[in-house]
Amino acid sequence: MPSIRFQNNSYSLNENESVLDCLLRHDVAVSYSCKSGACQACLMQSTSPGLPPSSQNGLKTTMMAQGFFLACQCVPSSDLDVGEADIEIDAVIKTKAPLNRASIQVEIEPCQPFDYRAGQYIQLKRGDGLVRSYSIASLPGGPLQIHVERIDGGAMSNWIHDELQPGDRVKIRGPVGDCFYVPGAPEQPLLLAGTGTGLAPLVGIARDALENGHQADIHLYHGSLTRERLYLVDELFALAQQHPQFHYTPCVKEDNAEKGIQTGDIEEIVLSADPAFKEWRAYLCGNPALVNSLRKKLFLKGASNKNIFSDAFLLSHAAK
Amino acid sequence: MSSLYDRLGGQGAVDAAVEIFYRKVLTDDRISRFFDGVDMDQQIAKQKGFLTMAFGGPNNYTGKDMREGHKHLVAQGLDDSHVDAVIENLGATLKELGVDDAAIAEVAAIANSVRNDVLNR
Repeated sequence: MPSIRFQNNSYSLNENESVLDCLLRHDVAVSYSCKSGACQACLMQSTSPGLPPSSQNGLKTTMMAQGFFLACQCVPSSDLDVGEADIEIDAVIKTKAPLNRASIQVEIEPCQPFDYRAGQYIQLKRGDGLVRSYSIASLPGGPLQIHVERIDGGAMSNWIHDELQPGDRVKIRGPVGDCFYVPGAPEQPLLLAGTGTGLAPLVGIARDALENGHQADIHLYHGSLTRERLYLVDELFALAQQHPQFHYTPCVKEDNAEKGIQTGDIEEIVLSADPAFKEWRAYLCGNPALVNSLRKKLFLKGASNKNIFSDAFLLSHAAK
Repeated sequence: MSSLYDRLGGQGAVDAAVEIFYRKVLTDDRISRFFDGVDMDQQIAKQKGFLTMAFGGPNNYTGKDMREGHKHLVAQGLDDSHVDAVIENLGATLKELGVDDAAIAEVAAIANSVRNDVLNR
């Protein structure tokens, strides 16, 4: 019989026994509820090959790609390492560059191999233990790029803007999140929409999709209050020039006469892009009110929930 | 004779029904407020559990779970009319999927069997 390893202990499985039942039989405290593969309370993660496909039924493709599985549905035929890895690694600040008046791009070089997907986020930890999450705009291969908006009174963002210097060391954790591009279905139109530094993961996802040869249209909508709070405008128009399937629509709330920039409510502009969004895959990032509202409206129009990935940027309670 | 769950199509039927059902309850003015502000992934996972139960499939629902899970909604005014609306949406979902009236009635009967627990009485 195969065995499972969890938190440095090894447990031998009985015939036809699930990972969950085995752990429970050994009095290991793991969460679970329905035991029928529906509620996902027993979600675990494994890096071992050979996860039974039935243990990933109903999970999003991004979660499958990360080795998430349902312990109650997992009857392995070979040994399995299960659990959740949470590691912290050293990283060095490489560059800081302004994006607009409020935001900067920071490049961070992890000191050891760091496997991630563009669009996921890292937790950045300051020496005194202060932690904040930042989405990754870059593709694997170079330094991690994050976009940091200065938050009024924000402990971490003001420190990053004013004090953090190239050469400084920080700790990072992660990557976290299921808002990233998964190759496959190259004929599926992509909708990328967000506000503020929600652009960081969206740019990462767009780059990743293009890199992977995504054939169908990729529509990126970036919303902000005013023209001056948009950023990467020239770069993204240039990207659209290079890739005919990539479309970039910056949206601002207030009047502007600039060519290529739409005026109006980003939600209305996005929703007018298609009558039903039935076959689309959508990525929504940034302002939680917009992300949650758009998510619901896309679903009600006809998009499938499993094709909607979102990352609502919640301000830390400490950021007052 | 195979079980209701098997006749309906098992897990595949639950997967096919859940999004149609969820769209219906979210746009039903009688009950949509009870679903406001609830995470969509969690809600869909919960509704899969509910549909599995109502379809006569494997589940670990207990009366206690049902009572605990709906207590806060009963405090917000959840009553028989809302349970009726949910069962109505469930029937309309199955109709849309081509399920016959007899099977729909069986599903409605199972859903009805948890009414008192849901309403905490």
